[in-house]
Amino acid sequence: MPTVLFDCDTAIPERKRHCYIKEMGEDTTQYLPSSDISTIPGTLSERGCAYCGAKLVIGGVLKDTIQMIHGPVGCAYDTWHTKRYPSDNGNFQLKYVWSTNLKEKDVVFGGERRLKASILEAFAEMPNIKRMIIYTTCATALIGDDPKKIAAEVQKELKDIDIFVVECPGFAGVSQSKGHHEFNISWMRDKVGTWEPKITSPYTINFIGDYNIQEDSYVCEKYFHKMGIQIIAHFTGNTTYDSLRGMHRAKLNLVNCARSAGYIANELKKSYGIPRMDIDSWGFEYCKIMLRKLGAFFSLEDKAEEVIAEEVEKWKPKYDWYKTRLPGKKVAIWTGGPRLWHWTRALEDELGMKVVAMSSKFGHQEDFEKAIARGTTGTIYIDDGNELEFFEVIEKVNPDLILTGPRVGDLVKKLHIPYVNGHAYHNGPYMGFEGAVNMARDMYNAINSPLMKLAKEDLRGG
Amino acid sequence: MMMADIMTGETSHLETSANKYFYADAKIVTAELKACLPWLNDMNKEELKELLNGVKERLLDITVKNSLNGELRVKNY
Repeated sequence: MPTVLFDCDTAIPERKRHCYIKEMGEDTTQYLPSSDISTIPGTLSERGCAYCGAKLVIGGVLKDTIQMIHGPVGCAYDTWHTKRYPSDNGNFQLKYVWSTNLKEKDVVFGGERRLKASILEAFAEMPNIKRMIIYTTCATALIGDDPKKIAAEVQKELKDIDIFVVECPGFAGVSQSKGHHEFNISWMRDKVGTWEPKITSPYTINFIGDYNIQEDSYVCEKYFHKMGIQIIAHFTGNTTYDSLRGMHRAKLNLVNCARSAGYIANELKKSYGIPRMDIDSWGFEYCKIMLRKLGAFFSLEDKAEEVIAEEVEKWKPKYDWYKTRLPGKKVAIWTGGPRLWHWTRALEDELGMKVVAMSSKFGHQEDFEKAIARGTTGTIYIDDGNELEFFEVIEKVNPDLILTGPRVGDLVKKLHIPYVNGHAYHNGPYMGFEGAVNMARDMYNAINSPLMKLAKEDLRGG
Repeated sequence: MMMADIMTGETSHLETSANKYFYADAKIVTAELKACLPWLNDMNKEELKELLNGVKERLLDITVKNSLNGELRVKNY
């Protein structure tokens, strides 16, 4: 079916090219939603900004780095404690937030002096921390501050520190995707190759596009270590600043989130000849494929099969319990981008669920090609969905469950529809074999919880 | 054609990282295809090559030549 215009969008007909319902026999050479283009003024978009993409998604995960946000304090506050990516050093990155706390006076007279003072103050307050990322924001980019110049000055003065600057003002690009891109390319240009990691195994990888959401990284790391594989760098779950400077030494880039981190894998391939292997790490069958591909690359097939056998034996009985209880349940996936195509087949083929609608906030057309190829007919595909479209889709498909973030999650809770946090999870990890069980459990609990039914009742009676 | 080699039990040369990667990918896809389409096992290497070339052309048609993905036409992307 050609792209569709929802009833709620009659005043903004431009939305038609962003919404598509797949029909039998169609492929993406006929119809493909427009995406990664400017949000139409007037729609209630759920997108984030470029700064959010650089800081909240990628840089903020680093466990040994001061995150200096050069801008008004709100930019720092709104990207602090809103995503759960723990670390094995006491969660340094979750405990603290840093901001230059820009004021009107600085906008008029320039914020560089305030930036320098803030950097020096942060290093003085935290003498054990020697690494820093500086993020620009809308305000500091507009007034023309030069954070790279300030960073160079401080590096000269303090000597034993290292600073990375990412120019990611919120207005750049059309969504958080621009911030991902900026961080990837800038890190590659400025930092990769400036540190030499200690090599302890002939089998080395970078695990790219995994952010240790509720300990995802630990799950996958366990599998890789059992196979004898050394992880040079996680981009960026539970990782250190310096390990990311040594990414050039890995023999393989294993890419999970291709949208937020595919760029650096491409650059590493171009500059250092390191192959990029795209994988899915959610779902039982996908995990088997991931480990088998990895095993085949390093000639460690036996080790891969050992890990698979051990994990399947441990987790399959629990997974099977949910497999008999979730078939036929209708689910909507309204997340960032890649989870549409990572999850749809796993939910449908393994758990027998029916993915009735998918919406992406910042996915590109490449993501829709994948999602539509893996998705089924009758499913609604939306780019940059707005609130009214979500209401209309819910009426059309009547889902049993929605996998989405807290923003849209709160919206659907008001309609008494259960939601599971598709970004930061309810009770993760969701990656790996045990993660598949956790995700199935959270979906089952959400669908069967009596809370939503009770919420519909008027307790005053009569 | 690495997949045809794997399907007919021939060994592939895996000296370079790129070849190791192609091999890993081909091995997994081959296993899936054989499980889903058991009639592939009855084909000889020439028939397999012809079939897989057709699949490759179809994939290129969908993902590159006739793709509606505008980014593929952006020179700097």
